[in-house]
Amino acid sequence: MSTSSTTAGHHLSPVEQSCWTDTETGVTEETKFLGLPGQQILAFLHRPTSRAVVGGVVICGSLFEDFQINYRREVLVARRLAQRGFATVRFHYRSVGNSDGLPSGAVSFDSMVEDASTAATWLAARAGITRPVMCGSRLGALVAAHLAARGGHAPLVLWAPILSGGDFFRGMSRASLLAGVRAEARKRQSSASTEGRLRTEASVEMLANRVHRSSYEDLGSRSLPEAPGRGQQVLLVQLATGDALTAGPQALVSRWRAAGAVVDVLMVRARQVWTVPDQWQPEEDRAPTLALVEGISTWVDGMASATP
Amino acid sequence: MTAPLEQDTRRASAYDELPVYLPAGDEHVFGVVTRPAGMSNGTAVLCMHAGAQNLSSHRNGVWTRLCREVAALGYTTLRMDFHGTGDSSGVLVDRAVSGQTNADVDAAVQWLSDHGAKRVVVVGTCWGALVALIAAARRPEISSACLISPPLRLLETGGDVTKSSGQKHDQLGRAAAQVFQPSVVRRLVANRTYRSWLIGRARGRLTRSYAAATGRHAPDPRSPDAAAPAPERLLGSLQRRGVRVHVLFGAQERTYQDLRTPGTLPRLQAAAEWFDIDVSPISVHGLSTLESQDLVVRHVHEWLAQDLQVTAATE
Repeated sequence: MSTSSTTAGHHLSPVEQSCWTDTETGVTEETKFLGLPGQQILAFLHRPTSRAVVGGVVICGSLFEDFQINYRREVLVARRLAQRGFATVRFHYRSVGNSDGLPSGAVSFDSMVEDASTAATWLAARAGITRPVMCGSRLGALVAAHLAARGGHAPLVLWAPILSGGDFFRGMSRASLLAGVRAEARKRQSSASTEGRLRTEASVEMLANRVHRSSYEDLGSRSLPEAPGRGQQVLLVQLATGDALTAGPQALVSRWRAAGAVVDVLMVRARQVWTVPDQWQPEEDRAPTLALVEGISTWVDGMASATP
Repeated sequence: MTAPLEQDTRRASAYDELPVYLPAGDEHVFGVVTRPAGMSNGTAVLCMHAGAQNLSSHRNGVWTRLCREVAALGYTTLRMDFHGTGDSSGVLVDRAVSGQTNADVDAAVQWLSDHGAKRVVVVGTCWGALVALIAAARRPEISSACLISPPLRLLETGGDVTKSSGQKHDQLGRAAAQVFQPSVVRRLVANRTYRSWLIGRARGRLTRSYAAATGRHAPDPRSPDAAAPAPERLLGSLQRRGVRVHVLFGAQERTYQDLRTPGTLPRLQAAAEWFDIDVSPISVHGLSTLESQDLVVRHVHEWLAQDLQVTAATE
């Protein structure tokens, strides 16, 4: 174990540098690499310091371009949850962001679940939370739903969920093709869908990310569970420009309610994008982000208050 | 999987890494330090991303890759989030390379110096490249700058590198339209907590907009220049100190076309003749293809290897 190190004779104190407290909100943020050397994930813990911890949340993000698109929103949701008393952990999957790379570079459902479990273990160790609310954004919803089921059907937030991995890659493939049409350099390339090429090639480029065929085959075959736990508390967040649930989420809500889950719905009027928006407006000032942050944290808070 | 949790630094073959929060004025900026497992060459590299909607690892982990690769050359690196981006605190209001943005960079440069760096090299893409250039003119610790597709035309406007007033009105209009959506109004009426939170946000935003409009940014003791300096002054400072500036453009990018079109950026063109400029046939702006990401990592890596030799020869 190493708790400090030196660089050119100067003392470096990781403990002092790895957390800070926002005195205005009473939230402390802590960061750490977790796991075995060479397979570590970067994780962040947001926890209240000016009040007691009333619960915990694990936020499972998405992959590829989605990881960056949702990143700041997830940070803001975590900060707000901590302000309301929930110790909240976020993390980068292996081969994503600042975490270590997987040997093959190809993310799998199992590697994502393993990384989320590592983050949940840290939450348990640091905040004593053994049954956190699982929150998954986009493709991360599959991971969150899986871990919620494994944890005795823990409360679950499905944040603009990808209902099946196949949908995710189809959406990415279409967005990639559109982006390719717009980019001069891509005009020379084949117009065949990148998804189609994945059936024959070891990896393809989608929206400036390398997608391995093994990831495509593995994640593409996954979907949200057919039936949740009886009485399981679920919040489904839909980002859409209309006021009504779209067909896929509507079917999921009906099916899960029929199976005995208590499903709430949060509608956020926003367009779900596939590429990082080329605009400067801070995420903090966007109405959809405000609605997301407040909507998710209010639901988690209310759900915790109602639980004996 | 239950993994060992009590590890504060990482041990790998060529590097170890440490995430840090650095106090910067009223904010805390996040970054990841990568240190060579072997002998340090005494120079630190500060990597800056492109601005809003980005994070320390940069698109598809490009900075993560670069930092780990150049550890083999003995470089210590810090890939940082500006305030209001990634995992840093605060709100990144606009593109003005002044005030808190300078404080972010100052904190990072100071931290690297305090932890043993004899000199610092700054690397940035797009807006981050502009921040890197201005930092190189301001901080004596910075010996070289590697800029990927910097929007140098913003320097021609001196301190006013924020959005145009027209864009501001557009943005206010968009914000108003979003706030008055039925779902938001319903929530405002029904939810007291949401109401007070949104009012707090709106107040903060108005205060920031007012500060930006009137130039009354919060004073930053470490960056007395509240606005970006004029090109001649900025580049004069770099030249006097012998700071090496390397730039990579894509041939078709507007950032490059601006620079090569006669009369487009007259003051900058006159002052920046000594820039070492490379032009790539493929676009590097936005790192929007794997090819451009590979090119940038390879290009910066090779340039850092050369810069190390130049440093050794001059010292």
